[in-house]
Amino acid sequence: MVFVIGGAYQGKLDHARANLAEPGAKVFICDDRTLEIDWSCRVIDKIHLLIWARQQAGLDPLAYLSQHQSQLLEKIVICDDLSSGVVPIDRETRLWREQVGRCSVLLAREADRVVRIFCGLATDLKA
Amino acid sequence: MRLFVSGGCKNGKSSFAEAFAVAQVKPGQPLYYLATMLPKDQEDQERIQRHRLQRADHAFQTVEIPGKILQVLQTCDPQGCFLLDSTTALLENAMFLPDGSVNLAAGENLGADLATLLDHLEQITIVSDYLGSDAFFYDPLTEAFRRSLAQIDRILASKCDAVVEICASQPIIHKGQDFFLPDHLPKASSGAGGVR
Repeated sequence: MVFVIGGAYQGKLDHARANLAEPGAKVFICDDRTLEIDWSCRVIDKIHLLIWARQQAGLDPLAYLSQHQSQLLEKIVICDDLSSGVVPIDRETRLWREQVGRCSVLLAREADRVVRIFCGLATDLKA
Repeated sequence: MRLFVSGGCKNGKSSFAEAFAVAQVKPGQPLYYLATMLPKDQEDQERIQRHRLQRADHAFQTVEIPGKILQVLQTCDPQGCFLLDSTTALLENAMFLPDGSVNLAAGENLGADLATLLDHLEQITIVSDYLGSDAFFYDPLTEAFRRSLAQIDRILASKCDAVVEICASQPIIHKGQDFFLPDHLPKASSGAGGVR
């Protein structure tokens, strides 16, 4: 697995497409209602939104990612880094922010490579 | 050499950028400070005053340019050494207009203008703000501002020779490591964030 992390709009998916995935690789883009990943895709983008959706549905996102570890190993997984702003005042957003942190630690641990994108530029955090 | 500086709030971006610009300037070369903020209240006025005092020891010529950034190519010597602080204020001025209307194309236009500016200047340091790691579902306007600023940042980071993220006054070099050999690295002091 390659785990790509960075702030919003920093160019993570563009970087994954250009430098990490094979040409024409299928991309699965999570939204705020995505509960399941389409495992036929090579790139899984916006996993922080799947984490949100599962949390809202009462389904543990960390357990889901743990259960699918072997499938994740073949993927390029992209996540927004939500960790550096103000602590959200409402409980749901606060819990989500923490869950994204925990899931990111899990994904980074399982990944062979972790890349952080800042203003379109990549830094290998784990290679 | 063209340097792009970003990072979180009150981390010392402006101080680093000022020190870098001052270290870069050659004898006899004009040193320009491109002031971008349109003061809206007393707090802004005080911030501007604080920044002027901070720069008082340096030979900066302050150029007020809250919009129409390409005018500096006419009013300044393009061979000069420039410091632009910040893209965030420029985008705010261009996007949120005094009559209360919003220009959603401001980011795209400003990105193109700054790219043109970089094509014409050899020595410039540009300061921006990193707003990408918050955990909120923002309203569409705030989200449009964040997206536009990040798009401008990516254009600048791609065009500049060096890109530095400042964290607690310490530089993290993302591009152009050779420009930052220990002997050449300016010492960033603590100071207030960038306006004019």
